[in-house]
Amino acid sequence: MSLPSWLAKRLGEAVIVLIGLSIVLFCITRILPGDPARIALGPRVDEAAIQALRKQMNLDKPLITQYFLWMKGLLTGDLGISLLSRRPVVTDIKEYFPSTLEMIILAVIVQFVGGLGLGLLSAKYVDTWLDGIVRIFAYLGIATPAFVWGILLILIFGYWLPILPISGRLTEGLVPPAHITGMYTWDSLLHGQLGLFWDSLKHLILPGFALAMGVMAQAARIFRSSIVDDMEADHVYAMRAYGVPENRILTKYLGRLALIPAISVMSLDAGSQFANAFIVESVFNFPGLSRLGMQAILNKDLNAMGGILMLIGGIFVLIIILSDVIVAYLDPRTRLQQSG
Amino acid sequence: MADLLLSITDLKVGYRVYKGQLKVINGVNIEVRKGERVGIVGETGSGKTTIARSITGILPKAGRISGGKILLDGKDVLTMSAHELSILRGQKVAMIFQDPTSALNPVLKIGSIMSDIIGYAYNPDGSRIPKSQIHETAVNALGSASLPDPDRILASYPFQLSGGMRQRVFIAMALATPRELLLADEPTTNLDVTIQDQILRLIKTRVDERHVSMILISHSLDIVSEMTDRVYMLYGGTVVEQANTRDLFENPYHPYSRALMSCIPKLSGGGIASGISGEMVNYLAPGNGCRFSSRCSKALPVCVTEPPPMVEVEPGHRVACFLFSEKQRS
Amino acid sequence: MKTFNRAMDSTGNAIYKFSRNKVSVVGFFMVLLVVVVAIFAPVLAPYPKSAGALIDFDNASKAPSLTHLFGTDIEGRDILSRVMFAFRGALVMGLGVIAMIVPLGVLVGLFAGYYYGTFIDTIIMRVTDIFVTLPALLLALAVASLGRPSLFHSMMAVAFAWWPYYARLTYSQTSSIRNETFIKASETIGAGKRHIMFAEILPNCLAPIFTKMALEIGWVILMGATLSFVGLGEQPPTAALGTMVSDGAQYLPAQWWISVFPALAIAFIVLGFNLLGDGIKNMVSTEVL
Repeated sequence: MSLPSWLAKRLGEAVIVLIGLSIVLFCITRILPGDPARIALGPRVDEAAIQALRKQMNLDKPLITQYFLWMKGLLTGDLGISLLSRRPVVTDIKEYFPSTLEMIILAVIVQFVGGLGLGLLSAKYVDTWLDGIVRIFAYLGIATPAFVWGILLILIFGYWLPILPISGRLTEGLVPPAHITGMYTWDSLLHGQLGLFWDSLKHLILPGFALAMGVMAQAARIFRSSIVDDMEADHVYAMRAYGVPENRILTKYLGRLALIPAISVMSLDAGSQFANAFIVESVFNFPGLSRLGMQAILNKDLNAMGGILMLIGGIFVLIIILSDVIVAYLDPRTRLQQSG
Repeated sequence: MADLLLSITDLKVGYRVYKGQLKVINGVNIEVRKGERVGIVGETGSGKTTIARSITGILPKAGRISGGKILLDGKDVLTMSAHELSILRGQKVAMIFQDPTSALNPVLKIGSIMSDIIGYAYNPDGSRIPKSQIHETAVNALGSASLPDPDRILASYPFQLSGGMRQRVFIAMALATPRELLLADEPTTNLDVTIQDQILRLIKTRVDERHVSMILISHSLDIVSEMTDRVYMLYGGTVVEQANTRDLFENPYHPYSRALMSCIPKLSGGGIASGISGEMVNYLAPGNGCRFSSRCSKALPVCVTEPPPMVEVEPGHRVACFLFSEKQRS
Repeated sequence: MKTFNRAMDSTGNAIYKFSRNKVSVVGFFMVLLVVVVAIFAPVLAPYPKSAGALIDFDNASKAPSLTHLFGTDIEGRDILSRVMFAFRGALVMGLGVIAMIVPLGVLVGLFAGYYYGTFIDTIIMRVTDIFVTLPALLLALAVASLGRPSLFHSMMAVAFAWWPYYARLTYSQTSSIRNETFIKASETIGAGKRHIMFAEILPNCLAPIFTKMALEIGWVILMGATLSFVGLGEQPPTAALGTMVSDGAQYLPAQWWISVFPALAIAFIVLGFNLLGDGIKNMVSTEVL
């Protein structure tokens, strides 16, 4: 089937899944914990206040109605009031989203370039010391949780060789650039304030790397092992038999084929990266969406939790669809009718 | 007698596996003259593909060439420099594979693959095909393989073509530039019977008209009998008999050759063919003697302990068998 | 996947393949070390009382030395001993969760795959789709935060978030095997559904399931450590690796050992299981050499 209709089908499926997700999240935020209003206000508040909050949160209405009200709010951009900050959840999200976004962008670039680059190098020099080093790094990188990377990076580059900042988005005293996108790096570039750009970038490096390490290692590993697995495949032999140089075989024939599982893995890992962002932001005191979400979860701020998780679910679905599109571009077998 | 193009002398090839060494090819001697069509007949596991791969130097990592020489145009393949090897693969020898599907990268267009093959090929004078001519060369090559609508094929992916078409693509690639030797490794084994004939005829026509030497590897006697001038019978990694095709088929000497030919059911009647009892050679411990001895109904005690000598029983017809050696040791 | 049986047909071959990759042998010994330490922690730990609620301000915040290899924390507890005891929780988390989700996930996937193309299949797979939409860690975090934090609770949360992946893997295996000729042959001669599912389809799915299991124990432990890092897991004074890391984070960089050693221990366990899992994957693979 053609690309547009395939895309439409996937989006349709995604909508169904997101609806299902909303049901699950609704259950988690409204049904499972008991009385959300009581939880929000704490044990020492009187009944009247609890009842007032219950009314405000629509908790007195039947469950189905609650669900639809919540969904309606979701679609119109009203996610309720954060029980923690007392502001609309949407406002909180809008305020903290850009910082997380720029950190994730950096992380994605690092893991793409680093992961694929290392994987390629390692495969090219397979079974040499270079390969060994990359493999060790890959194993370590995968096994080490993001927050551990965060702590190690803080120790090494924040204290022992203090060259990078370890918290916040800007050095104290500096004024952030005027708001265009909300992302300090981009905004300062757009304003031509290079000093500001560099400072905000420096603040992104450590958390970005902490976030990227695991996926970078994973990507390097998958890329390398796909290539190595295929090195003795028939189609590689065929090309060798005709004198195609090894380097070209590596990049064009093996690399292209190996890119498929690498991208699939990276997009699946994107999900865990969102989750890790929660923790990394806490470790680095980075005022981002994930830290907001983490606090929402820990403090049982159910409105914020539901809204943020729904947002993340939606983004994740889009990423999966995007990566499916990329894989379909790379692997014609998935998008064209196969014969026999 | 025409000039010698390829001369394999005393080739020994093995594979390293966890249990030890598979000593597959055990001192094989094969010659191909310019313009000649030579067949190598053997069962699965007899080492046919190993010989083919050794000629172009593309053995798997576990493969080890432990002895012998492969002389192509006078130069030993086994000691060639990287540049000489690239000329070998880019100009002198072209291979067609048993499974054209797995031999084509599944995510690249045919045109992309062909442009590499043509782009890295050499003309006989050592020059390369200029980039501007690659497309035209590819289209012509596809045409010579009787493929209609070359542009559509160049834009297709391998899985969009049928098995027969894929093999034609390979034939096109093999003959896109002038070659000295075509190595056809079981080119029709994986194809439908109805297509086999067409492909074989295509190969035969092109090989003839371009004066390309050919080594045709097959387990099928009838294919070899139609397509070749001379045949080598391979068993267990050794040449057991070699002769002109007609001579071999009319008058097989070696017990293996005879047994193989009697396996073919005859239209003239005679009942169901009898198979050859026994098992394939154990390459881990093949022993010193004749590798067919354990299955041979006429085996002598000496056959098990000593390697059989190659004896010329008629002009141009040689057998490796103690039954025919003048000096029989008792 | 039928080649799974062939590949395993000689134990010698399997063990050979495993040991070919020295790295997996290292992993095996790492895991062995963790298991032994976990089981025999009370005997092996130099200061077993440190695993609980001990207060010894004389010894507090001591840097690593010969008497305290990993140093002590601010309450004077020996970190090495605490790490050793924390291995227990980690293993319980890893093995326990896997033991729960694999049977459940595989059964569901088997069922759905067998009824491939039908309503049952669609429903089950949509449900797993929903789970997969949200990153497992987030789901686990959300669920774990709902109740009172405990090891059991966080195990349940992780299991809740993780089982669908096994269902999907089994489903994709089952649905492709389901239409193969040998299954149709069995059905033709009247084999019952249960027989087909368990005796014919399931054995052919086992290879990737085992591989996944082996590779994932490490991840489950990692997720458990992450949960305890934010306070959802075993509660103090029980020693839990993630908790120790987060508790110690505030004392960086001066008393770095309080955080760093437990952090390295986490990496060690996960690495060990990863390497071991790789080795098992090689063992089960269909490669000849």
